[in-house]
Amino acid sequence: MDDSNVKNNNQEVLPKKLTESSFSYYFCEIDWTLSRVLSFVFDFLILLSLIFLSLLIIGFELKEIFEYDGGLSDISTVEMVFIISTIVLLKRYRDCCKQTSINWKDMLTAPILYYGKFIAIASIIISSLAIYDLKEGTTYFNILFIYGQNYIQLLSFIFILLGLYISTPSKKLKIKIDVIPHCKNTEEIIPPEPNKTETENA
Amino acid sequence: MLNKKCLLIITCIACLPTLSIAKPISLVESCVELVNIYESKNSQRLLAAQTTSLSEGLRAGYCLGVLTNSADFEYNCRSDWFRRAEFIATFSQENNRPSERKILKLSCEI
Repeated sequence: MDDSNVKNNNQEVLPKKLTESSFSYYFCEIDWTLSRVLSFVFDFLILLSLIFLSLLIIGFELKEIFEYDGGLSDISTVEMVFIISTIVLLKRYRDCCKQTSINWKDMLTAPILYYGKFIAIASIIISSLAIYDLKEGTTYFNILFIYGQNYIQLLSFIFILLGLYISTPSKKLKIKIDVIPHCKNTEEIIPPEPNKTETENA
Repeated sequence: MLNKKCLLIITCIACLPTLSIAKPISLVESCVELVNIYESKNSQRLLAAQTTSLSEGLRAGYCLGVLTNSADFEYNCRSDWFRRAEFIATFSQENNRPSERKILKLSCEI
């Protein structure tokens, strides 16, 4: 087949190229940019609201632990276990992040975002319960918040610990020690060669 | 270095009760704690022992004490303490609560 025939065929199949001066070109550019800006704003707002929600609930939970300002006498066994587990998981998370190339921003927000997602799901369920109460005239919502305070707190603790546990960065981001460019002290990475005299004696 | 850090944390935790000023005991909040511990008059809730702190237990005991005392002497109530505690706990959702004496009197009427 001749080259000129192929070129002609391609021109027919491909859509007509928009010239930079045409109205359609500018319309397409504005349309595209606007959709991307709106998408960015929407993502940013969701991110912000999730962070705000989770920080609010974490603050509330901390306040709930020391609810009567009684110091150590306010801490129950479950709360004590939660505090210790949180410290252990935070240390694990920090160690995991240190081994990867994750930036500090993602490192800080990842567990908070996971917790925010859990809270958002729980809020939807609780809201549906409230709506059901309003419709049917029942008092399940009030019963949950009066009699189930300890269980709600327990669930929140589980969400926090689970969020901390699953927010470890991907293994793909793991930094290989032998390719660190700024590593000055190579003695720590490459083990010293055994002494020749020692090997000969052995 | 780690030992110093541990020592500092332990000292801070140990100082917490001395620095804190405990809130006054409210009957409604105490009865909320009581119904969070007890499922019915004779049985406790699941994990009640693990989820209840010393302060919460103290408040639950206060509510139980007030209810039994008022039942015996003040108002001569016939209904059981658990039902009365449940009734009093419902006032925790209200903004304009009546006085504790009034709530106690109302709880006798259920």
